Amino acid sequence: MNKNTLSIAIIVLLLAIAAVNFLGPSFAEEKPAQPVASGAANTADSSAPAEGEAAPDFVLTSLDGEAVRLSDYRGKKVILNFWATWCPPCKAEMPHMQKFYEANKDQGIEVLAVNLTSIDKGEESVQAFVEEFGLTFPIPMDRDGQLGPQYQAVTIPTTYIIDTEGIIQKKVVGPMDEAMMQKLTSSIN
Amino acid sequence: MTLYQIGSITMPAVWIATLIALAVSAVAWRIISGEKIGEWYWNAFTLYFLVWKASYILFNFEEFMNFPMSVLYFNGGASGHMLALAALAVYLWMAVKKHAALSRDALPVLLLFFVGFEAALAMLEQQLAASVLHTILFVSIAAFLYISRKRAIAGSTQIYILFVLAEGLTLSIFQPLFSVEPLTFSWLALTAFALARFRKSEVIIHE
Repeated sequence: MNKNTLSIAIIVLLLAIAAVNFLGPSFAEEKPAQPVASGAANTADSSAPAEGEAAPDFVLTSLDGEAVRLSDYRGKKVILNFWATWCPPCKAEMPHMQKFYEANKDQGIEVLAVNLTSIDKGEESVQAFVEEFGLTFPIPMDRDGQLGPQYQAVTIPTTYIIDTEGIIQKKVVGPMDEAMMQKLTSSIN
Repeated sequence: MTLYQIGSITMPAVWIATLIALAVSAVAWRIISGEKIGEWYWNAFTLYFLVWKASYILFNFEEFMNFPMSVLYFNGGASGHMLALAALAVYLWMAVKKHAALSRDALPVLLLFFVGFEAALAMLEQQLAASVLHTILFVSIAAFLYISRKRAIAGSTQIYILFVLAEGLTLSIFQPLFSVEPLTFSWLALTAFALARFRKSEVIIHE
């Protein structure tokens, strides 16, 4: 390959890049949002909520005494989080979740942070935690310890990103920051 | 955003792709050049990682002060990525003055790393066309470097411009030019070209 051939190839590539960017459409490969049939999800317990499936409905009483039913939030995107006061990554995550909630509560996104009350240190400590972090989103209380296991919240925090149709789009184990919540909720319907 | 759950943590595909590319490029370079990859390669990655991680403190100061352990779980995000890339360029620019091999190796190694990263990421995100194109490009670059390792063309800047543009074209088929990955690639390419120039200017001075 001599220098002239190289120079011509360089110019052709430059023109091609310009053409692709300014003239042609973007060929970004859109992945189907749902249902997501992943091998790992299928091998799990069939009653366990998996990505691409409907989030099991529930009714719990929140910390301030109100009934919270998941299906009432149909039409909104929901971040369904499972946490406890003694869990350090949950502590790290809460300020990000509060910030995210404040910025997005009027944009059709709801945050439900289910406290695993049956394995937590009493409702006073949950109340103190909520006041300390200034949390304003609903805190449904899993007092009889049924919902956490049903949603496989074994390692906490565990979070489900649910779309406006009530379908689970993502399960995230471990803490998320505000940017990640933003990314995950903006990529779904 | 594709996430993989490994044990009790969730890892974005981007992190896994970075680790794969880091290892694959080091092995590929070992085969191509017959030498172990320079210490600068691992130093550069460690520096990138530390700045990216610790910049969480800078961009989330209040959260960090309230709960310092939060730095363990989070990172500086997109702003931290840019800060880390700047730190990387400064480190490499200082390192090239000590290690002449860095100037020779930076372009091929960074090119292999980035194209390898894109190939791995596309595979992890199950984007078939993108993963095939990036893999073909990675193999072509590696094969060219291996075949021409003892010829003068291996040191030609033009051939690297060609490869960088080929990667730029592949990238821009699948995403807008002004998004994080193409900008990161442009920055890495500029850094590598500057490092390669360093050797040339040095040689002229010594002659």
